Amino acid sequence: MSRTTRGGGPVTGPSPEPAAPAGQPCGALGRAIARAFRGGKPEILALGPLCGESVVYLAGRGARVHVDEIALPEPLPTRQPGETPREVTPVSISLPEGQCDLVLAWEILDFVPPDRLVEFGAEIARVMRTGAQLLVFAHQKPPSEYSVVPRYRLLADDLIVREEPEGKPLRRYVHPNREIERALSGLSIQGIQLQRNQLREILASKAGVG
Amino acid sequence: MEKIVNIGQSIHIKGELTGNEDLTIEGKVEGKVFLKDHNLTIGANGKITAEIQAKTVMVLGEVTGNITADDKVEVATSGSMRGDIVAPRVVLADGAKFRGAIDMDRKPASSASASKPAMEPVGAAAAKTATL
Repeated sequence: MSRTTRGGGPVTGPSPEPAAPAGQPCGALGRAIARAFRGGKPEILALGPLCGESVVYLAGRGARVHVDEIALPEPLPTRQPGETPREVTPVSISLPEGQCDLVLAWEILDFVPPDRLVEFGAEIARVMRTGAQLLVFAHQKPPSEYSVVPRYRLLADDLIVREEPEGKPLRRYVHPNREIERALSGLSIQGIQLQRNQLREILASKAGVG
Repeated sequence: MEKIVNIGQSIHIKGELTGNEDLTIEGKVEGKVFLKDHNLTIGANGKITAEIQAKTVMVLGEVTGNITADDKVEVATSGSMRGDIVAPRVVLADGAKFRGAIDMDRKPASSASASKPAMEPVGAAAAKTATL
């Protein structure tokens, strides 16, 4: 592709370097990270496709970062009356109960079928300790019904870049707020903020008993 | 130039592997690998199920087990790692498969130290012990 100046003349010299990806501010992430690090050495769980830079960023700040590319659950099989229920693989995060101070679930809930959402939310809540936080992004109006699970690159505590790695596009679901709240019933929602790109930024925390 | 020892693709080692030189593993190793002050490379064909301690560890193949490095651990795009990493410098390439925890603190976390055995002393003339 030839380049021209604004006046229409050809451009001389080498092609410009591709611009560095611009970060998207994420206040909820900044607050969650600040709170997680308040208690010393936090345990952070990053779900979804691996972004090595983000993991190293958090580990470099002093956290112990767990990475789990959790297997996304299939929708429950439809059952005819009288038919015995088929076994489904349960949602499982390979961490003990109450391990994490912060869970970064990014957009992973959008790829969980509605009938497995409560189970998925319960498994996330299980690995969180009291006072731990969960950050989730959920699309209000996704551009397409199928997409690759994106990964998020941290440029700073409150600055992220969304990337779509290569991979198989998966079915994407739009969960209403009330369904997400029901799925995260073990947690208390701190806030749901709708971004300009129709992405809901949800921050929840695990409340203590009493 | 320092010679790099290579464990070939057809070699299968079960046991404890210690040494005082850099090592590249293209075969299979099960057990423990201790290379104090030296570099370990797990080649693209290498399959390791072991506790690893070295100066630097480069993972191009498959590792199941915990890695402790004095300097750096790098998991390349082709690498697959299941286990915990404790090292002051870590590089995880996008596209690498990783499941576990990363700790870049020099002092390992209490939970991590509880599950890890203390590093065994390696003498000046450390011997390679292996069951071939």
